[in-house]
Amino acid sequence: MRDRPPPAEIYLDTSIFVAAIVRTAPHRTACTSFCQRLIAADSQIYFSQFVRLELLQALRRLATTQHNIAPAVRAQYGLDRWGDDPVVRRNWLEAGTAQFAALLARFRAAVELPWSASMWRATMGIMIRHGLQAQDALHVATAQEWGLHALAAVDADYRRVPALDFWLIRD
Amino acid sequence: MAETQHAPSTEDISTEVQVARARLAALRQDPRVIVHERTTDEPYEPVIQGTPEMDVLEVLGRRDDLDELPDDPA
Repeated sequence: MRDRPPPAEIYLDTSIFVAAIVRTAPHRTACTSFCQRLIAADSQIYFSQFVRLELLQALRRLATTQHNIAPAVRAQYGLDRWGDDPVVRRNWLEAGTAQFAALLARFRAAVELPWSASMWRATMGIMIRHGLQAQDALHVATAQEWGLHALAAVDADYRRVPALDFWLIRD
Repeated sequence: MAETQHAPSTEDISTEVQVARARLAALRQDPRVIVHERTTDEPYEPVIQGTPEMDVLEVLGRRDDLDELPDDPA
């Protein structure tokens, strides 16, 4: 609900970051608006270091599929030469990760949480109990390991975890 | 649009902020944790232009689940 005050602290799934850093992406308006509300409220955000890995893979996927990125941008970065040219890959990945850093720099505090072997066990337990995919379960395990109850995502599968204070962010 | 459970009172919010600030203070002392501080007040504006066909969950590799919730709008 738009009237609900943003929480003082919240864990953000990778889907929030990916939707927010790509202009015109579906759910980008909702994700950007939500981030702006968190920024204005001085909310603290948390995310797993795993977000950085998922972000790289998402950027690669954006580059290697024709329908996700505007033709002018594909031409600007030479993305059709992705498979042949490391300069293309470097420029694109650096541009994408710079967008991620630029977004993080707006929050009062963006807290990057490490992974651990105990969280791997917890991830498996969440997969067993709630039927989530491994990536989603990892984010839940990370949030819970660090005592965080609020989690925001574009991915509705998190509704399977009743213990979460889940914020589904979509246009 | 976001799902919600209840609207917290002003007292709830104050307590929530105190808890959050205490957690952050503790995490600042944890060498495993990286805290990124605010470095700009400028509004964020992305420069990567996507398309309306872009599917965030597909891009993240989360579209291979055959066990989606029945009412999953995705």
